[in-house]
Amino acid sequence: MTVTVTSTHVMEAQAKATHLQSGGGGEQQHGSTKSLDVAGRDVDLSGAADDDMTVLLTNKNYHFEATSDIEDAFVELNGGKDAELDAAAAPLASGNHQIEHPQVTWLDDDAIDALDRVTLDIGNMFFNRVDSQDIIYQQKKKNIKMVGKYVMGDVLGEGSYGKVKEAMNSENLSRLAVKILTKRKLRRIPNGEQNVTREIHLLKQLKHQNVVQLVDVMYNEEKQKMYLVMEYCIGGLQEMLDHAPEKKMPLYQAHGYFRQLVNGLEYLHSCRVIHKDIKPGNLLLTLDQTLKVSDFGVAEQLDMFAPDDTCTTGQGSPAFQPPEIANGHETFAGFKVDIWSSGVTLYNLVTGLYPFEGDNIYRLLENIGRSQWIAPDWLYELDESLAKLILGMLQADPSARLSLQQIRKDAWFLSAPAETGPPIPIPPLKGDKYGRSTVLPYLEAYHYGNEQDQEDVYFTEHDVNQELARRAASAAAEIRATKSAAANAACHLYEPSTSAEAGAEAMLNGSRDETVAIKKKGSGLKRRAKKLASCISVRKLSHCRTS
Amino acid sequence: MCSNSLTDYQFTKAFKHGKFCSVYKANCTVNNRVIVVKKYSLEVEDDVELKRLFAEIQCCRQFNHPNINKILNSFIVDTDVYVLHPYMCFGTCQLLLKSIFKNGFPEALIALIFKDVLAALLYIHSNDFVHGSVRALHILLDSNKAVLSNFHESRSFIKHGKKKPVLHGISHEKNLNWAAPEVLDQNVHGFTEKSDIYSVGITACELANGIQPYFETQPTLMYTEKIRGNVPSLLDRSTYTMLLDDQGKVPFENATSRRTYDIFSQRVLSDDFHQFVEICLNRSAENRWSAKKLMTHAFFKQCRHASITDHIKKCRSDVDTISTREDDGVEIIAPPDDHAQECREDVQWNFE
Repeated sequence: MTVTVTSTHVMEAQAKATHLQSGGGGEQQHGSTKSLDVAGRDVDLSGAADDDMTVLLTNKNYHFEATSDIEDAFVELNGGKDAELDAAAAPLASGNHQIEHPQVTWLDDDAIDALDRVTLDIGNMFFNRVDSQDIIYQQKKKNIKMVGKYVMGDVLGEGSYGKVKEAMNSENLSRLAVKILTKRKLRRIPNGEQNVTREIHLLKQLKHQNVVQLVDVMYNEEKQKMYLVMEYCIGGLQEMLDHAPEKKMPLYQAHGYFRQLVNGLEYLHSCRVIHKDIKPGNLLLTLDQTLKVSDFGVAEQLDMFAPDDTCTTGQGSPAFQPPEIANGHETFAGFKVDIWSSGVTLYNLVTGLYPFEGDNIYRLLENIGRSQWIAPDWLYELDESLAKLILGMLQADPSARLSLQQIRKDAWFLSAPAETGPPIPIPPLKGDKYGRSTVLPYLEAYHYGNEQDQEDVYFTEHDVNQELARRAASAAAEIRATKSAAANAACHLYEPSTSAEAGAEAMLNGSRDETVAIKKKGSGLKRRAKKLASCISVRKLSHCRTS
Repeated sequence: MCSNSLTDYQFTKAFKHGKFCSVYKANCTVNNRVIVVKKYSLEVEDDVELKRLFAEIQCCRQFNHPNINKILNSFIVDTDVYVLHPYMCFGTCQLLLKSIFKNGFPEALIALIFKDVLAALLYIHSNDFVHGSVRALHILLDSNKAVLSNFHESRSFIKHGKKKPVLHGISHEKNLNWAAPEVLDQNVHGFTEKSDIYSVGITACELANGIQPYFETQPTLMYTEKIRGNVPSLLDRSTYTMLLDDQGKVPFENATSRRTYDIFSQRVLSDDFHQFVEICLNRSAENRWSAKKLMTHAFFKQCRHASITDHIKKCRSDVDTISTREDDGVEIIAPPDDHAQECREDVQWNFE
């Protein structure tokens, strides 16, 4: 694999390098011995390594395609660095006779930025080929970060308001999701702060199996941040659809989710809450496939003494809006808005399409508001009762639209569609099909930090390939071990788990360094001589950085 | 069958008073049977505890097995729920650890206890339930058998008429030291009834060593250790060296710990026992043995011609101080570090 790096960075790095590599000059293909430093650039190495690695350095076999006049221009522009370059040029000219240890200067992000500013003026962007084996990766340091009693993990998603990170309660070890809101970003969104306050107020009252649970709210005045701690969801229906081959799911699967959606909506409406933004993107799933209605950013709670469900504002997603909102009515029945959106959602889940489409938002709203939707013939062919249900939910006239009670009595709702093939899966987060906690690497770095520091933090493409090979080997070993364990079990001879198995287990964590550590442990220590956890010297969590 | 009227019961002794739960020893005047009465207050701010109590009673009443702590009856009088259990004369295993077996149970007794516990687990598992909270505190001893109690963490694979292949969700238990790695991991794969077997392994270490594994360890470290597959082990002559610090010195300052250390360094636990614990604590749930298979393990050979009473009586005669303590049972059963969570535990305590 070859990676292309914009050469501007290569050039600057060159200027920064204090020494030029001279050892092993015989191998150099182009006669020029250069030490390069391409730091801080994220390069996409699909499949080769985790995405949170940083390309650090290329140090040899550098295919020099830059023409010399550009190099000259560079030198001129960086007049202040002339002396340094001159010094660098000397060993270049004199060949390989100098015996020096190869040494490089590591650039930090600031230094690179500074160099960027200098060289961007050139307006001269050209590309350089760097052989993949020359790239050295560095595992990103997982520094533990705590907010209150919660240990933060990786970013799960990002929105206009801020990030959503995974977290873990350090006391009861439950997995959580934390929505991080920054005041700065909230101010940019129309009604941002108002919506958040309302959302928190709403969520605090709500407690239902099919409504996402707010666990905790924390504020950090200093950082101007707000943390909404929620129960953990492994994914959303929208992501599942996006990853499905035909952007739709089998009927029985959609049926299961739709039933839960109706249960959640019934609860919300009983609490006088109108969600107003029901769509696959706002329907999340927990590990055990329980659907959670989430995102109450535009939800509205009716007044305790309101005579009916009349609403005046609608801010939901356009494609899921009912005609009364699309046509800009002053007032409309709130509960029926959620029914319409649920109808569109159901239609979207089973067909992968939307009942109304448009080139732009105006066309879309125009189409929604123009006329009564007619269920296509192929939908009747797919499932007649389903088509009738969707039609009932997509009635342009809110009063003719089905109510939740009517939906509950609907033939399709009560039916149990036959299981046809496997359900579409929840797409794995960052390629982890086990959906393991992303907090774990941070905890490991924290608890076993000393062990890992000694392991090589830098590794190359070659190492990555070797690692992949080892992974395959250990997977094979695991299969063998399982087989032999089964055989052993049959004849009552039990062998403790082998180090290969422990290794394979650790592989799943994706951490290379740790594997090495475990392997050493597995082989080095005897059966009964494993170290007790309580004997390991432990740094107290209270020492760690809170934000 | 016990009656629903409080007048039929003669309360003879209070084991414990708590805000939510009080435990009494009582005499049923109808059939002259000694029972334990747990009284729970309905007037609690948070109804989560109550919901769990009701779920526990509901679950427990479905079971009928000699090694499962029966609920004889449960009823409501005024603002209290009364739950009646048979009286178990030796109390919980944890209580015995605190009073008699300070340095751990003898191996033969542990074998006797686990034979019964596994029988109970086999019954629960074959009925598609997971106990979820096997630990010394939840094992009660009678003169001739051990019973499993406290089903408040119990879960069923069957929900809404459907049997699920795996369970999800972390337990509500405050102390997760007994939980299996796959329970803590909370990943897509979930956990199965094999998680109980892991807890059996941890409980075995607890009973043998006299102290719960991961005691005073940070929960997050306990979690990473378990995920890595590192397991606690039985302490005897072959393993006591792990108690030493890096310089090979005994890390204990005080005399009691030193004495404990000396005992560990001299005693020998059988290879079968070591192997039994190792099987239970296998990192991968599939490779852990089922309760049924574990009952056939060589560890249980020593159960023949022995009974729980013999072992406890033998040890009790060594510890004379116990008898003087018998009357102030309330103090013994409410150790200072116990949380509100543990106020629901069984606390029977008497030596006839």
